[in-house]
Amino acid sequence: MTVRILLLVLLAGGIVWLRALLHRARAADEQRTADALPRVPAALRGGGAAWIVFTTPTCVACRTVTGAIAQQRAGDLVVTVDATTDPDLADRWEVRRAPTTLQVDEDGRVVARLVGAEALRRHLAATTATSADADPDSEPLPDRHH
Amino acid sequence: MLTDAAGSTAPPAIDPRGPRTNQAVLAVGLALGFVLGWWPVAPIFAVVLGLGVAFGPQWNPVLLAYRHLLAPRLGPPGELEDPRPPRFAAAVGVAFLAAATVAFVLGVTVLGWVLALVVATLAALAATTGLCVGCELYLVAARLRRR
Repeated sequence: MTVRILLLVLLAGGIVWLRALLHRARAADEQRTADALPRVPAALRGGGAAWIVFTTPTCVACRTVTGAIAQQRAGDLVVTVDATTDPDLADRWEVRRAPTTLQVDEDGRVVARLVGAEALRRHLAATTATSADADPDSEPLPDRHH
Repeated sequence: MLTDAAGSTAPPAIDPRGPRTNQAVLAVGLALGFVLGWWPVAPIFAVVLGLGVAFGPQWNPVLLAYRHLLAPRLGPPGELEDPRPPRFAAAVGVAFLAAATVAFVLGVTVLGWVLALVVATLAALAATTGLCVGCELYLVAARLRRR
């Protein structure tokens, strides 16, 4: 029984180690900024500014992200890219998780890289608040939706 | 190729804490069985997982217990999950545990425990990190199917 317990302890240690590795990789991915990311070609963004959302077929949070942009930035172009069918596109913009959202300006520059639904929500709230400060007649922020 | 995630025909999303609970119970159960040298734990969990895979989560006793006992105390989940990947992962778990059971019955105990511990380790990894290897396999399989 002692050998079995030792083996389980070893396995548990391996899981803790993997967990720490994964946590570090996720944190690095979330902190990665849009700096030095390649420009998005006009063909992918309809020629103008756009939101590029990298998804997977089973990503529920991706639907939340596209819905939030459509709701809070009505009129903005949202392009979804399935990272499982377009892994080359995902690699080019260093996408590691879905949803990862790129906010792209009229010149194709990536101005924000947002990993996860919560980061996108915070970004939308912050940038909408900035716009609202500049325009006192604009409407207030909508409530948070899950 | 551009696709629209919102336009896909995905089944209703589920509370991801259900599968996480199932994975935690599976990992602890198999680990206890291993320490005690009690191999029937493998076929028992094969049946538990198999019921959910074959007939839906309402037939898996662990998921049922989560839904009625734990979920009401935890409140609504912060995010939701597509049910297909965890179901596929459970099917892979059933296959491994069925193979382990055959190995135990044939007297190849070491192979039986190796297979059971693979399931226990992956279940523990999924329960503690959210990294579900079986779910990732589902995405790979889905991608290959579309080729």
